[in-house]
Amino acid sequence: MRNAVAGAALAVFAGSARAADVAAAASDPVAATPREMFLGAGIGAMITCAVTSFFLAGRVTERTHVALAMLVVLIGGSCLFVIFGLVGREIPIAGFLVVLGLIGLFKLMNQFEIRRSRVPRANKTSEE
Amino acid sequence: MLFLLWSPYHYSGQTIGLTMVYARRAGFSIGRRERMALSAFVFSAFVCGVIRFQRGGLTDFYGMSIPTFPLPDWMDAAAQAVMWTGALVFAALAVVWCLGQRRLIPPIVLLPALTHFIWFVPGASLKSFWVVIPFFHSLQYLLIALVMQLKVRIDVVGGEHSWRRLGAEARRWGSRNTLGGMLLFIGLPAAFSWLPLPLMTTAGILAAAVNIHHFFVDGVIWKLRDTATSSALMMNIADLAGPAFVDPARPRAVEA
Repeated sequence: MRNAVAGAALAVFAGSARAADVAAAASDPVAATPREMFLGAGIGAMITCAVTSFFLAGRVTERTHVALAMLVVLIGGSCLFVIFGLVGREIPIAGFLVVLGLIGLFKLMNQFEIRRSRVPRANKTSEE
Repeated sequence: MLFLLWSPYHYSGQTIGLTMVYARRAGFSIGRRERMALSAFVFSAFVCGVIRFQRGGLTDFYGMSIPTFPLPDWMDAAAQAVMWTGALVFAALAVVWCLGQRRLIPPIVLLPALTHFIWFVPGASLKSFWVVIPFFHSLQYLLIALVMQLKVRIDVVGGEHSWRRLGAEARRWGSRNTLGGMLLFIGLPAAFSWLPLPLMTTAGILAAAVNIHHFFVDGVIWKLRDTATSSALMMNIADLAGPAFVDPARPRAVEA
């Protein structure tokens, strides 16, 4: 279990190649690889965020719901990066698309908890 | 690897923020055109940097070998083209401003962008990139955070406005930061030493996690549209030490 935790952490921060080394050291041959563990943990975290948002509906501010949604995007983006981060080695243009996707993700995360206008665009137009 | 890409992106945002602060202090108006040109320059320099430090093969981060991030060959030329176009447009707008105002733009306005260029274009090939660049980024950040902290503390009702008090507050803040840093970057990895990983690797993972958290916090705190933040960054430290300092943008806090 400790090896699996360490492998999952490495999968995030040091790349899947190093995580695979740790996976090889795991004694149980039927255990999930660290990459699979990471993806499983990511899916679990996304479900937790969504369920939290669902149960908190009407009890917390819209800002909290937006923050939870952003967290889901970050976790999902990280999972996709673990799967497709190195695909540029095979398809060079995919590397460019991954960079574009990452810049979009960083830009979106930069908007975390920013107060937004509460008036929807349609209402604004009708008010004008 | 995600952290190693997010980190320079974050530095780019800080460069733009600092330029905006210095420009506002200098009376140099940064409108939509100026901001677009500056962003094109700064973010393309970031892309150039990413391409260059990927060329060196595996990146060593806290003893971990991070695989290179493959990018197509044409991206370097494209990023350079956008970067130089942004630089030329921004320079042209600055020259127009200088002619209109009949005075030179204060060099400090251009310093963050120039520094950013040196870090990410010639500096990206350095082996010490991941030590030197975060060090200077932190130095920039600490000076601004110090001014903000002094402003918050000096705003307390009945507080003494003097250099002596500023010095004491700065020392207190500095010692807390040093102690907190030691706990966070040495103590915390030691607390996780039970993991079957080298201590250096644990330290690297925790450093990345702390930094990613700081990227979020920065986005929330440093908003120049917020009057309280911008007013603190528009003043001089001597104003804080002066006796008649009044900030209309923020209600006076009461010391507990």
